[in-house]
Amino acid sequence: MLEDIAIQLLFGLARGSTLFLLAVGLSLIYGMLNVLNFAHGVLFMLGGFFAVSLLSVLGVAQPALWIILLLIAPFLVSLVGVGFKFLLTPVVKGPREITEVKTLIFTIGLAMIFSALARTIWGADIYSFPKPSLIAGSINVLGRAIPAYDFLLVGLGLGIGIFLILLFFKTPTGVLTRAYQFDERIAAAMGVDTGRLSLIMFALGSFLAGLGGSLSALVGTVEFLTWKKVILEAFIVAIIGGLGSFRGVLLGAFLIGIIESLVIFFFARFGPWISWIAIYTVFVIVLIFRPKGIFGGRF
Amino acid sequence: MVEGFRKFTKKFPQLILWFILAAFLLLLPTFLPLYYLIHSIDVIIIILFAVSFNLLYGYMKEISFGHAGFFGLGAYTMVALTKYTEVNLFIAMAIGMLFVLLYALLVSPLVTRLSGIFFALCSLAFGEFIAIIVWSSRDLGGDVGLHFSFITLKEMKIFYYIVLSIASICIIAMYKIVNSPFSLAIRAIGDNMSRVECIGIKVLRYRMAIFIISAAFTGIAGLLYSILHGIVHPRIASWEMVTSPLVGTLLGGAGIFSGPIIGTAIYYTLYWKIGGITSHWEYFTGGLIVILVIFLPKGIMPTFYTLFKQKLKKEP
Repeated sequence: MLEDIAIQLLFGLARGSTLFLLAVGLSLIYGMLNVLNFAHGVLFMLGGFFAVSLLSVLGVAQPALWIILLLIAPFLVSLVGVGFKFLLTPVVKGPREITEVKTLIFTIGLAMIFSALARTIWGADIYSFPKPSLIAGSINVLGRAIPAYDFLLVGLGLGIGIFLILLFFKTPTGVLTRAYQFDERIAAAMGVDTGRLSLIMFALGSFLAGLGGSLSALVGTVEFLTWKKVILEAFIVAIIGGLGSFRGVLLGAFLIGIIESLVIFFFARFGPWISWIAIYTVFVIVLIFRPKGIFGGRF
Repeated sequence: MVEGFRKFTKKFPQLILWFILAAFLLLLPTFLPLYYLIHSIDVIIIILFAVSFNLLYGYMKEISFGHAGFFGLGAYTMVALTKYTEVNLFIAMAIGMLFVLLYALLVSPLVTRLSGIFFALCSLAFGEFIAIIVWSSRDLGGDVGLHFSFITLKEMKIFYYIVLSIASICIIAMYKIVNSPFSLAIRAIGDNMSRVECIGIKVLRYRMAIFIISAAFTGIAGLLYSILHGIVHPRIASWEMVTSPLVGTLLGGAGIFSGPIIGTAIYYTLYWKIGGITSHWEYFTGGLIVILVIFLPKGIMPTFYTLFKQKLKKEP
C-alpha cells in the first residue's frame, strides 16, 4: 500500500512537471503585463505540432531528435509568443481593472484564430510519433515497472524549477524582474528597461510552454483541440499558487499533479472525471480562504 | 392640451418604429421559410442569453464564463425529468428553473466576493463543474447527449410565438431592472466598488442579487434552446457556449441595453451563415473579437448613438 502511494507520488511529480512548464509562463506574463493569457494553451499546442512536423521532415536520428524536441520546437514557439506580446502592447494601456478583462477577451480571440490556423495547417487529425529508444523502456522501482519517460519529465521539471529559482533569486535579471513585478512605474523610473524585460519573460514563458507541448506530444498525442484541454488546468494551477508568483506556480503545479494522481488511484472506480472534480474542489477551497491564491502578491 | 399633443407628436416617430418592429416580428412566420424560421427562433433565444449576460458584463463589468453552466443545468434537469419520470413538461421546466436558482444561490456568495479575472475563472470552475458531471454521467447521455422531441417541425410557427412572447417578457423585465434604482447601485459598483462600499451600500448583497437574476434568465434561455434543438449535450454547459453572447455583446456594445440585442442578431446570423459554408468559422469569431477590442472597444450602438446625437445638435 505504501509502495503504491510512493509510486503514485512519482506519477504526480511527472504530471506536475508538465503543469509547471505550462503554467509558469502564464503566471510570469500576468505578473509582467497584467494579462491572463488565454492563448497560452495555443503555445503549448504549437510546441507539439512543431515537434511533430520537424521530426517528420528531418527524420528521427537520436541526437538530432532531442535537439528538436528540447530546443528548436520551443524556440519557434517563443517567437510566436513574442509576436503575441507585440499584439498585446496596444491593448494593455489603461487602468488595470479594465485592461484585465479586456485582454482576457482579446486573448480568447487570439486563441481562436490560432486554433483555426492549426486546423488549416495540420488538419483535424490526431498526431503522435514513436518514442525514441532512450525512453521507450521502463525502469523497475519498488518492484514495479515505471515508464522511463516519467523520470525524464520529473528530472526536467525539477531541473527547470531549480534553474528558474537561481535565475530569479540569484542573478541581476531576476532582481530586476521581481522589482518590475513589485511596482512597474518605480522600476521604470529607476532606469529598468521594462519593455526589454517583459519581452524576455514573454519569450521565456512561451519557450517553456512549447517545451511542455513538445514533450507531451512525445508521450501522448497532439491535435488542434489540445489547447482547450490544457488551458483550464493551467489557469487553475496559476491561480491556486497566486497569479504572478513564481513560488506559487511551483507549489500549485506539483500540488495539483499529486492530488490528481492520488485521486485517480484511490477513486478510479467512479471514472476519470473524478480527478477534475477534485481539482475544482481544491481550487474553490483555496479561493474561499485565500482569494488571491496561496502566495498571492508575493513573488 | 396642445402641450400634450406636442409631446405625442414628438414621440410619434419612435412609436411608429416600435409598431413596425412588433408587426415585423409577429408576421415573420407567415412569409419566412421553415429553415430560416428555426434560425430566427435560435437568434431570439441567444439574444435572451446575451441580454442576461450583459446584466453582469455591461453593468457590473464582470465577465462570467459560468453562465454556460446555468444554461445547461436547467436544460439537463428538464430533459432528464421528462425522460425518466412521468412529469409534465411545464412542471419539468419549473423544476429546472428551481435547480438553476438553487445553484446560483449556492455559488453566488463564493463568486461575487471576487472580482476581475478571479470572478471570471471562479465562475468558470463552477460552470465546468456542471459540464463535467453531465459529460461523465451515462444516464445523462455522456458526451453524446440526450435526444428528445417536444415539438415537431409543423409546430414551429406556434413555438416561434411562444419563444417570442417569453423572450419579450423576459427582456422587458430586464429593461425594468436596468432602469431601476437597483441598477444604479449596480452600475456604481461596476464603476468603483470600494467607493460604493464607503457610501454604505451593501455591495456583496447587490452583486449576489444581480448574479442570481442574470443566472435565472440564462436558465430560461437554456430551457428554450434545448427544446428547440431537441438535444442536450455537454457542450451547451461548457464555457464555449458563452462566446456567442460575449461576442454579440462586444459587437453591439456592453453596458447599453440595445447593444447585446442588435449585436447578437448580427453576429449570430453571420456565424450561422459562415458555419454553414465552412468549418473554419473560428477565424471569423476570433478575428471579430480581436478587431473589436482594438478598433471598436465600445461596440456599434454607443458609437451609433454619439453620431446620431451630433447630427441632431447640428440640425437646428
